[in-house]
This record gives sequence, structure tokens and C-alpha cells, in this order.
Amino acid sequence: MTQYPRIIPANDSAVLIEFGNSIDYEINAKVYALQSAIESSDLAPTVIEFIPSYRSLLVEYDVTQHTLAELHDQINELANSVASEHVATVDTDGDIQQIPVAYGGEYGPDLETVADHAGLSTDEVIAIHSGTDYHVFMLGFAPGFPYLGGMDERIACPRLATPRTLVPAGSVGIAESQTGVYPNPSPGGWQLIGGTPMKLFDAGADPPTAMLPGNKVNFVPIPHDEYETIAKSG
Amino acid sequence: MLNENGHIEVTSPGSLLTVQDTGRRGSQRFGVSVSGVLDLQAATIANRLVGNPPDSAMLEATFGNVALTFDKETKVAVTGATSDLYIDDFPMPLWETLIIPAGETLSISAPSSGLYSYVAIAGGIDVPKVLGSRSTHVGSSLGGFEGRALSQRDVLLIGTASVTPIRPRAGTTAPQDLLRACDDNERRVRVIPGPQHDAFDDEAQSTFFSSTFTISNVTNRQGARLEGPTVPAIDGKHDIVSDPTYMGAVQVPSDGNPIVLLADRQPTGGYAKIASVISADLPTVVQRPPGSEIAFELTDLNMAQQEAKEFVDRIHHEPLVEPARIFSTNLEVNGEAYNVELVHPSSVGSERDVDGIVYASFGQTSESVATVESTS
Repeated sequence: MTQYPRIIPANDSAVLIEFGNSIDYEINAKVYALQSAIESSDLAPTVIEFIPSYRSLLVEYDVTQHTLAELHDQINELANSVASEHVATVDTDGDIQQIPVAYGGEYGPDLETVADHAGLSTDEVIAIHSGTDYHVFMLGFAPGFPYLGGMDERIACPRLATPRTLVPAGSVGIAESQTGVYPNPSPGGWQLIGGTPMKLFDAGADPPTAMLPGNKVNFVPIPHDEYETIAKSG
Repeated sequence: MLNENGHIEVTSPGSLLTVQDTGRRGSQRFGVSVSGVLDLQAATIANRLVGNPPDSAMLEATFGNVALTFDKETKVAVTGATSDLYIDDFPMPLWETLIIPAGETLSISAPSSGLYSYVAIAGGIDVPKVLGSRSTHVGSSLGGFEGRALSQRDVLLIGTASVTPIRPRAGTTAPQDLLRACDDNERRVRVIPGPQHDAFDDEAQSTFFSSTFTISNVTNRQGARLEGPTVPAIDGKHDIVSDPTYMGAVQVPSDGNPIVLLADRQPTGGYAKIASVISADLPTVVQRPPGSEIAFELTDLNMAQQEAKEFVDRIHHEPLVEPARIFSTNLEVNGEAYNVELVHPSSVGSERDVDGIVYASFGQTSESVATVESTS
């Protein structure tokens, strides 16, 4: 059995710290806890950038200041301390980000496909999809693209056989037992069940994403005529 | 002093011409790619040759065939791939500080070796910073010039030079040993083991390290795709729980063909990484055009980190070579003292005063040019 946490050199100026090898809330919480611990330690000045993921944290550092041999013990100590402590898996002090979604119709052309596959009505699919709080495991793939956890298996649905060449920004989709939102227009093979008028990625904003890694989000059904109103108000 | 910054008109963009700096840092956690120059060595030297800070935005050309027209006299340097370089019809050297006279066109031919050329301009390219960087990420339409590759007739604004433009003088060149290193695109590329190297058994590892791969035609700024013997993961387990990526990661998807991740990579990915190219060897990886060969050899982390430090030190601090002074004298004109220098090799100059230097051309075929610097 692999022992965690595991400290692995990635390249000559980045190190990967793994807390496990699966998609798990507690493992993911430790990733963010380690990032915070390093940010508030005296390692912070040598860090160039963090990339948190489902189960590991990449720390890119300035190799002209320190080699991994010089940083290893301190990283190891922080990682072990995080691994052995109980880390809250719910951001108790953070609000749940509400994402308004117009389900079905032009915004969610595949809602009926998902409902048929699940043997449910479209209203039941909407109720199940919007009745859950989702955990933002990480952002990746594209600017602001969230990897969400927590979708009810009853509405799981295979990807489209042929991906769309263009999925509009804000589209909410399902692929197998995952749900997600496309922050920007892109090609994509997810079953689209709705659309959010909310701007999920804004390069001029700080932070640039509406959903934050490690936080919780919830989808709130809105009438289709509210979509344009919200979209215009920015 | 120029009252107004100059402009560059793209007369020919070649296959992919983008604005790049040293990359967008700190936003990968939001899914934003780093992007930035691929060949950090050539780009850093280009900025130094025109007196820019290392993070100034420049132009990165892919496989040459670029022409740029300048409306004002401008100090430039072109580095990277080996191409024929011209100012209007006159051949000019690469890796050297050049002065382009107002209205003239800089053109870069298709390279005879290498892939990416860097055009640094004193003052840099003035495009808005997006998330702290001027780099273009075409895949997500972020940064650079309108978030896209440059097209014919686009006009770029040149930034304000933040340092005295007197130095480096026209004719300043990159250190010779650094140029030799840039020309060596046949040596083995050094790697350290990647985070998932244990997903590959001894036979697969041996295939990876003993084979010569060919760089595929679909190679781009996101990654260098390799063709050759396939490198299978144990039990076909190429997919991993999505994990952070980094520059130089060698990932192997289920088709068994390795991909070296480069500047435009996505910040996270789901394929096992067998190895990581050391940063000192990244320039030779990115400069190999499609169809060229690449082979790897294993090194250890200590060696890689030592090489990384030396690489950074070399590209930032190895002294540039000042032009030889053929003739130097002091003279007085209208009561003002001047130092007059005749330098070699040549750089085309017009007869005008830029910040105390009078660039006087002795005919564009001349091998020499005079600079007159005010000493008063």
C-alpha cells in the first residue's frame, strides 16, 4: 500500500504532494488545507504558484532560491500535520454559491434525453439536480471550468455519441455521474440540461471565477424569461 | 526623445504569430493556462539585446515567414530559429541588437533549423495585461492582442522603454557559447522520473529511454506529440484521477504515444506522466520542428536542479558581447561635447538623434556604422 502523504518531485522546479488516489471529500479538503498551511508558512516567498487538484497539490517554487532537498523537510512536516488532523470537508464559514439555471428548452436541449435515460420526468430531473449542494473539487481543463462532486446517481447519463462543435457559455451539463458548467463557449460532449446567465469567468475580476476551488455551489432553477434579465445585469 | 511611441504593422504573420511574455502566473488554480514564450532562453536574450526587462512582451513567430513594418526608428533583436533576416532588402544578423529605420520592414524567412523566432522591441509590445500577463492563450481567447493570433494588417503599439535606450548599442550580440548551445538540437533530452513513472513497467521504461521518437505534425504550443514505439502503461492504466500538469511533463495517453506538455497546456490533466524534461533542455525540445527526432536520457533531481540554476543564471547574466570599437574619439560641435564611435558589425541607421546617439549610416552595404554619443 502506498503511504500518504507522498512527496514526489514533478519537475526541477515543482513538487507534487499527494493525499490519496481517489475522488474523496476528505482527501480534497486536505489539499486545500496544505495550500493554506504553506501560504502562511515561511515557505511562501519561494512559491511561484499552487495547483490544487482532487487529491494532490502541485507547488511550483523558485529553484534559484531553494532546491527540493532544502524544502523537503518543512513540506513533509506540514503535509503530515494536515494528514493527521481532522480537516472540515464543508466550508462551514463560506456561503454556498448560488448559480441560477434556466433548465430545458433552448438552454438545455438534452434535458429530455437525460429524463428518458433516468426514467424520470423532466421536473424530477430538475428537482434532483437543483436539490443538491455540489463540492468544487478543483478548477481545470479551461478557465473557470469546475470539477463538481455530489451529483445524484439517479440522473447520471452517458455523454453524447457525437460531441457538439460549439457549446454556449454557461451551459450546464451531465456526463456519466458528473455535472458541470461550461464557463466559455467550447466544443463539448456533455448532455446539456440548462444554462446559467451568470458570468462564471471574468479575467478582469478578482478572483476571476464565480466558483472557487474547495467551495460549495448550488443550482437554483429560474424561469426562462429571467435568463436575459440576469444576463444583462451582468 | 520620441514624443510618441511607434507602431508595428503586421505585413505577414506566418503560420502563428502571437504576443507573449514570460507567462501568466498564479491563475492555474482557476483553470487558466500559463502560456508565454516557449523558448525562454531565446526570448530572454532577445529582451536583453534591446535593453528590456525580462518580462517584456515580444512577438513569437512559428516557422518564420513573418514581415513587420515599423513606423518609427526602433531598436529590435531577433533570436531563436535560424532564419534569414532582412531589413527591407538588406541581410541582417540574428541574435544582435539592430536599429530599424522608420518605415522599413523586418522580415524573417522560413527557418533552416529551429521552429520559433522571437522579435523583441525596445519598450516591449503594449497590449493590456490580463491576469497579470500580456501572453496570448489562443485556446481560451485570453490576453495578447484581442486574445488571438495576429493577422495581416494588425497594428501593435510599442511600449515605453523603461531604461535608457543607449545601451545595448546596435551591434551588441549574444555570447558565443550560448549560441552554440542553441544550435545543438540533436543531443539527448534529459528527464527525471515523472510522478506516475511507476505506472510503466521495466519494459515500457526501457522502450521510452532506448527509442528515438519523431515529433509529429500536430505538435503545437500546447504540447510536442511524439511518434514511434508505443509506451504502454501496466494493465493499460493510462488514465489517472485528474492531476496538476507542468511544463515539460511527458504524459502518455492510452494510444501509448508520449506528449511533452508545453506552455499552452491545460493546468490539470488525466494521463499518467512517465517523465519530466529538465528546464535547461526545454529550449531544445520546443525548437525541434515536426519531423525531427528526439530521444531521452535519465538524470537525477540534484543534477536537474543544479542545471536549472545554471540555466537561469546563464540566460539572465552571461554578459552580452559589445560591438568592437574600430574608432573612437571626442569632438565638440556647437559647444557640445560628443564621443564618436565607429563600431562593427553593421547596423542600418538613419541620420537622426535618438536619446543622445546619432545613428549615421554609411550606406547600407557598409559593414560599419558610426554612433555619436553626447557626453555633455
